[in-house]
Amino acid sequence: MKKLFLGKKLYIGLIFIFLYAPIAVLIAYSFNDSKSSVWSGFTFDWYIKLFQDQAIMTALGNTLIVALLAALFSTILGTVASLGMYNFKGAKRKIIQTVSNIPIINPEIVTGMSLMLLFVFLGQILNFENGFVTLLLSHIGFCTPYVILSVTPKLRQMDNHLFEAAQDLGCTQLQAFFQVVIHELLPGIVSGFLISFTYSLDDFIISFFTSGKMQTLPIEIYTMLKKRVSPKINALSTILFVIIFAVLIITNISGANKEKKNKDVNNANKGKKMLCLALALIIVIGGVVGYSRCSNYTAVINVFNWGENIANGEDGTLDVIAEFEKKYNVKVNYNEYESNEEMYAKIQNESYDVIIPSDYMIGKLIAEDMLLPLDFDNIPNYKNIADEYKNLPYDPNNEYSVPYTWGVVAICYNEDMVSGEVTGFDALWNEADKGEILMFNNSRDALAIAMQRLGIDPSNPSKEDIDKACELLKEQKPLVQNYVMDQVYDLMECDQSAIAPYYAGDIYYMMDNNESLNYCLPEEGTNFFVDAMCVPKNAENPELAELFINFMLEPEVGVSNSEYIGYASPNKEAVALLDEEIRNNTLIYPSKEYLDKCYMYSNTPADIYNYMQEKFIEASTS
Amino acid sequence: MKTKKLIIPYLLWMFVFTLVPLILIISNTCRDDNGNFTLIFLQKALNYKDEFLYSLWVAFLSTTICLVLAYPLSYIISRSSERAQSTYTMLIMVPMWMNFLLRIRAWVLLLQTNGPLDSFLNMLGIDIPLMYNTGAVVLGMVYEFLPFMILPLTTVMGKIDKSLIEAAQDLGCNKLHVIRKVVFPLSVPGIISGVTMVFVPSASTFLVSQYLGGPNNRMIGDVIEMLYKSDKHTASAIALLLMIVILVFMVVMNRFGDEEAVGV
Repeated sequence: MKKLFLGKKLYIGLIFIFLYAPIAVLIAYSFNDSKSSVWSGFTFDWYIKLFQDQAIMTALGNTLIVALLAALFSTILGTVASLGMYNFKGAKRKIIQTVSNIPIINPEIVTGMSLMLLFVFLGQILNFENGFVTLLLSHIGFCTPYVILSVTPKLRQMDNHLFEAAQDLGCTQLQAFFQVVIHELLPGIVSGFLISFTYSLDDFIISFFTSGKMQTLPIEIYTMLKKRVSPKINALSTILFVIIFAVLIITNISGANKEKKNKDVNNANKGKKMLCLALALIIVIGGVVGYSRCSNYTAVINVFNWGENIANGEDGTLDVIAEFEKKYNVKVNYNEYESNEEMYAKIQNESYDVIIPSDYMIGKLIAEDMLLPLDFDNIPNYKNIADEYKNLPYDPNNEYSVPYTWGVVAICYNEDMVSGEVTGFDALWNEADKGEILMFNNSRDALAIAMQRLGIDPSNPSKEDIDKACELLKEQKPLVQNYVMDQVYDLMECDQSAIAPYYAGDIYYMMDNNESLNYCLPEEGTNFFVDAMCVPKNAENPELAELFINFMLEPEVGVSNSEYIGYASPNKEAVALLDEEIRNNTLIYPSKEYLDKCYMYSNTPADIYNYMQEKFIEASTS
Repeated sequence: MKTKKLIIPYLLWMFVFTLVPLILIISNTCRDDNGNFTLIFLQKALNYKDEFLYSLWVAFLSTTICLVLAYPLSYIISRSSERAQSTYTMLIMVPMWMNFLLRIRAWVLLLQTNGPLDSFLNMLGIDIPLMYNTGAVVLGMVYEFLPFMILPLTTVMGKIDKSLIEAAQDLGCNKLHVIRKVVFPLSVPGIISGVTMVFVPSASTFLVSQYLGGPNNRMIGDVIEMLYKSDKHTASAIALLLMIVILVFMVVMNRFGDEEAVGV
């Protein structure tokens, strides 16, 4: 018997170790004195930086408020619906149940996409834009079925006679309902609430489509994916974790006291108490966040940028957005995205004042007449841009865009792991490094590398070119450890992989965290890319947008951005202020001769791009 | 109870927020950009049948493992004191309040070559690849969705009348017998909820296999994620097929459940 008891403890212990081991890792890295996964000393810095980061704090407030309201409304809606559903029998009930489960079985991407279509459609009729309300509605939508799933079993188990008995004993219908039925269902209701809260708190995809310009925490984190997730997020998670645990312990202690006094502590009390505590907690946090947000600006501009693509005051850089807000008394509503295509999907329905797409995407937006010609009289700092970065092929007369950053695709390799000399992209096909080669998980960049090896110009490929490139990728596949984007950081920095192609500025950071890493500019040339600031046609404040663009071109701002992002700056005044070491680094600032060998992507027609995507998925999956 | 009317708000809700969007998906699947009817997108979607089958296989494995891991735990929790019950429930929920992506990345750090787990196993003389395989993907799924198995099971088991178990014991059942003859049949609704809540998301989720799996472990959710930005039609078609497959699965599950309930 004793043995069995020990086994039971071991089993429970193992499950909880399983659940909490990653949390421990997550917490540990919030104290790491580096952005990378390599441990480089203990620090509290991220906690201080966290509270200075307005974007994260705002996102946190939004996330908590939405999660709480969504959980509350869906619990009510779901409980009422379960009661109603309970009295249907047979086929009718099955139909209702099946329809009700659709949000659960639908992949989130599709739910998100379809809800966006719905809200855009309704928005045109009723004249509203996606935002808090649509976000909340969509969260209630996907949470309610979970509430029903957890309340219904309780309802099935409930003795039907209880309700009647209560009435026989003199209760009114309403009294009987609240004191008997709800009491019986309470564990189910509470777990439905908790599940809803949990799902809502962590939902990214559906939110991304329906949130409009509301930034929530998971969106914030997802947009960091192209670069890397900041340890500030770990710090925030740690704080939340500690708070939740504190609440848990307090409820337990007070529960224990009460139990002593009154053996018959019922579920209702417990549930109510938990709700009250959660509520109090969220109101406090919401209040703090709300307070930090309230100030009186004269105007608002909406900026839509890549994740982690602006200096934010860390590491001695300027807090660019705060500086702009202070200087011009204009509030910047700052939103982020993770890829050009995502940005493109979003600007169809929402208006932003400044966007920062890449070269080929700018070409596409110009071709589709979605950009506003800029008034360069309002952007006097345009003179700071070096001539090499004006009039580039995507915007030949430079009417629509002002370059922000640029860079090349290069190869990062681990000197201790790679076999043979790395001179060009053929090193990615080296049999000797089998299982330690990483490749882009993005069709455009992966196919371009293959095309370069075949001597095809990747800037504007035909379907045949794509087919040939895919054959080459299929040959490479058995050698590939994985197709990656941001994971490349961890894999290269922790000696997990020997060689990987990635963007120059990012490789520079990886090399900073692992001394065995080195880089190679492929001898055959490579992709040269530019991200540039543009103003969409439906911008509400084009003049402020130009003011913002002009501000971004100030030398001090440019140098901060360049230092933070790690990509090269087209701003010659800013470059002059950079550390000599960075300015003369041939990885970030390759020579003019080398750049002449490089190519740019041009605006790929939609059908070719779709073909690329399909073929790449086919080639990179068995 | 005259509560049939209570369903009305939810019916309206479902119409606007579930059925209308569903129709939009179907219309996206069957019509091209010019609004002409076509089946080409469904045909394209069928190109991804390997990823489909693989996703279902991963979902099946994850669900089975979750059920096996969760069932005894849920039983233990449901038999413990009320206070312990709520503590357990919270302890199980708390990890899920940390961001999904951060937790998966933490697993990468735990499992990587020369990482803590790998070093430990090497010390014991075991040398198996921990990452970039189906095992790692399933581990990620089990980790992600285990709480969604434990919670409904605990809820349902907690409601089983203790006197039933005592009665069975009085009538000479041993522990195993009690579980098989009393606890198990009564916990079927919980099993169904749990299986649904684990199987469905693990078949359709993305990013887990991108982080923990290798080039041979791409799942259908990842394919949709790669496609939806540029090719909404094919993405919708894949989603529609996935939905149909899962619907069939659920209908089968529910039928099984009802028969069990009748059996009791």
